[in-house]
Amino acid sequence: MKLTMTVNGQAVSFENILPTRRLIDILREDLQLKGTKEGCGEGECGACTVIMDGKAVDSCLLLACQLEGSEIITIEGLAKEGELDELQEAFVSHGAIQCGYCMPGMVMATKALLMENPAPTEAEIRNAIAGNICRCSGYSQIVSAVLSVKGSPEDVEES
Amino acid sequence: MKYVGKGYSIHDAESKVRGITTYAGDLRLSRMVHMALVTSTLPHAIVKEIDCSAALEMPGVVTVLHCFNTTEKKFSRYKRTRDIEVPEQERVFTDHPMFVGDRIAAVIAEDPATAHLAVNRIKVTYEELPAAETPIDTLNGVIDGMHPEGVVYEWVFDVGMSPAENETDLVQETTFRNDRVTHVAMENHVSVASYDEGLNELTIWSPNQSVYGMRYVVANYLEIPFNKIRMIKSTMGGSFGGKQECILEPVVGYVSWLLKRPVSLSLTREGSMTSAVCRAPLESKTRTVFSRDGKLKSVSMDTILDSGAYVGSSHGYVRTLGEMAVRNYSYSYLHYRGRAVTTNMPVSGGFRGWSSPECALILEYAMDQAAKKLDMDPIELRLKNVITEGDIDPFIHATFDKTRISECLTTGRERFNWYERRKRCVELSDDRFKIGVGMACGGHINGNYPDGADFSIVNMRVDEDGAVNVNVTLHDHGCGTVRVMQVIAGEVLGIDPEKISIREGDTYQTPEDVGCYASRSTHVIGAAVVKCGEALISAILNQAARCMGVPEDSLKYDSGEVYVKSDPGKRMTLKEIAIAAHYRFQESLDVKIQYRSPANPGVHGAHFARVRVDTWTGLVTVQEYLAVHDIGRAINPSMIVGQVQGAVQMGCGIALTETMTPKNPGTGRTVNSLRDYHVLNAFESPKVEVVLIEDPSNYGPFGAKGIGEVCFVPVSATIVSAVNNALGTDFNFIPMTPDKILDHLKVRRQ
Repeated sequence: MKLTMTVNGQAVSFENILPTRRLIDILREDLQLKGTKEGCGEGECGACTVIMDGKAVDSCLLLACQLEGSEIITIEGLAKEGELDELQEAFVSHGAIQCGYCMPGMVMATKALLMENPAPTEAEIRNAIAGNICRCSGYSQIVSAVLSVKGSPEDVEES
Repeated sequence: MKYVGKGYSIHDAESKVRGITTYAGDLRLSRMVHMALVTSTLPHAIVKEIDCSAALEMPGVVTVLHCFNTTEKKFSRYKRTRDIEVPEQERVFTDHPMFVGDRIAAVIAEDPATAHLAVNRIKVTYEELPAAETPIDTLNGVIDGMHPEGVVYEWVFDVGMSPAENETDLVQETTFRNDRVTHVAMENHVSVASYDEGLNELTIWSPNQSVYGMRYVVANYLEIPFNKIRMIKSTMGGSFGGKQECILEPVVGYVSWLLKRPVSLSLTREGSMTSAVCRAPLESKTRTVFSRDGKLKSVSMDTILDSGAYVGSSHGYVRTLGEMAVRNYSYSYLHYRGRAVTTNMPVSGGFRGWSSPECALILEYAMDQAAKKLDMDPIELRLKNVITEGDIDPFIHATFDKTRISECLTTGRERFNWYERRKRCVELSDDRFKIGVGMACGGHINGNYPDGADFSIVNMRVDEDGAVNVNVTLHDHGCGTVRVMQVIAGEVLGIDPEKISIREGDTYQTPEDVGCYASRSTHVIGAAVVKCGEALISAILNQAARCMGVPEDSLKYDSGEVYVKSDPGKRMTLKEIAIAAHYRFQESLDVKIQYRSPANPGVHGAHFARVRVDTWTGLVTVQEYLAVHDIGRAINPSMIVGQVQGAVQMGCGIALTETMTPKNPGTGRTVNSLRDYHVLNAFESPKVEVVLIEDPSNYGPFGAKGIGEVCFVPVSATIVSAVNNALGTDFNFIPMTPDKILDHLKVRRQ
């Protein structure tokens, strides 16, 4: 099948792609966007989370046949002109990053939350990442990082 | 302290948050092929036939390798050094699978998706053999002869003198059972290999804890000289002990050598859970004797550990459990019997704390039971028995140095408001929700001293621009060891840690080192970095004295500069000294030192928790948690807090929800998916307060001791204590799942 979509603001199209090809394989293998990680392949761990049309989704569960016309943002698409997004900065400065394997998914899940709800409560943040496993931390620094950027005017504007 | 004790992110935080860090599974090399494994669906069988024809017809499939077209040679995943005695039992692909998940074959394809799809087209015909699902089956002879060298590994030892027992003594026998759990590092097991047949050189990239240890296994297996194997530690997406054994490296090394092409093998989550390594189920029967006033007199432990199909590290693990029994409490006599029993279950192996958390579960449960029987406060009972400065570890005949477990207990008692909280449990409970407060403590080691090759080598060099390189064989697990070394080197040299470059393990580039295990990184390698930093300062002063034509003792080194003490205006920067070294004296400003660990101080923690048990659903909520740790010196407090909180998340999960035992056991199968294996998520994880007691040890860098393992030691035991307090139960097992809690309450009501 043919597929046209937008990834990190750029139009991409495939002339002949298997309808069952997973979004994560399209990103990692076809587009060489290796920031998105596979942790379980069945939507349980959230490591492969990307933003699709404004919502956090598991890229291991979406197939090419579901992607036509969609707008995808991956971890590589967050920094603008080399500058880290405010949320990325917060993850670094709050010591929220350890092994880092869950991080692309964790950042995208919380970015999607902030796009929809610029001032989430702690409970809303914890709920939003309930499907993203981090085995290194107790989630506290991650939650603090997200809380530190909530409600900032730029963030509202961006979303 | 200029840099030590400030909070830093992990060194590669920004790369990770940008998504540009390359993990081994992200590596792509020219002509690379991808592997996907075909594993046994039976716990014990002989493979009669493998039909690969349908797989080979798929476009993109290069070949299928299996037990009938590959080597029959065996290796041991745990024989990382010459002095480890363990039989070689494992084949790359076996015709005699011994557990569900054992490697039988692999599809080699041009891309990973094709390799995985083709696996489903391979038909394996088996002849089923009798299988042992538990150590009891094995001890009853079900798999006698499965391994020619035997299926049971036993240790029996005694330390100290058995004291006379009085009639008034409390003599109690307790049992504790641990279930099989898995590490759930977010990065699955992965290895990449590239063999150069012209050079007979093999390069392997993997997230591992010892490049030299992996090299030892692979070199011996493939009969390639040590100096022709380049083992590179890649960025590690979590290990927790799971990536310390040599599991995939011999497999990709062999396949790349065979096919003469680079090979990548990334396990699926199911593969990581069932084909790689897990933490052993074990059961321990313990006899403890206390005097009436609460002094522990003796401990007698009989432990049976399920090693899974290959003995791997289990024989060492079950022995270490006995040795850990003296790292927290002081008493006159220990009798220990430990058996690692082979079964037809996934292979057990190293897990964070290397038996110390299991030992804490056993002893802390016995302590709580004794406190009840002696009608004593649990903390008071522990305070009477924990080790103190000057005590000697009877196994290694060395002191525990400045151990502060008593202070962890008393500080925690006050901070947690222990007495008040314990008292209020009843009034906070109602018919449905029961509140309980519990605690536990534990100790651990700092390195391998006095065993093994516990030395580190550090090489420091100043470049022409004045930049400092520290060449050391580190293996950052993702918890910030590289940053710790930057801070240590920065403190010694008075240079901004961010400007110091630190290497990680690469057998072609970094010095010999036994690896990052046993909480030795900060304590041993960090001390080596201090020593090398001091040697570098001497070399800098020597070079500067020659440049300036003044005696060396007239100079002072300070923060990357050297000046004449009597005339501070006369000074040279590191850049100037390095350039002078190169072009005036034809030398490099380069020093190298060896450091042998001289000690193994005690390191401890005391943990406190309040839980709420829902007696309608059996769900346990950890409402509050306090962890107090004797750290010596906190080099990077921000990462220490993150690590402790992560350990609590992991230990709570293992105490409450995590198990690889399926709902209907008996088929040799285990839980093989995160759908059924529940780790605590952000919504369920407790908030954890961390208190660090800093009293610098006499040995580590600036007195620092390890934290990564000890912070995990008391966690599950603390939760067991709290749940038992809430329900008035004597649960002597983990995990205390909702089902088990409800079953118990049902029985109690009847």
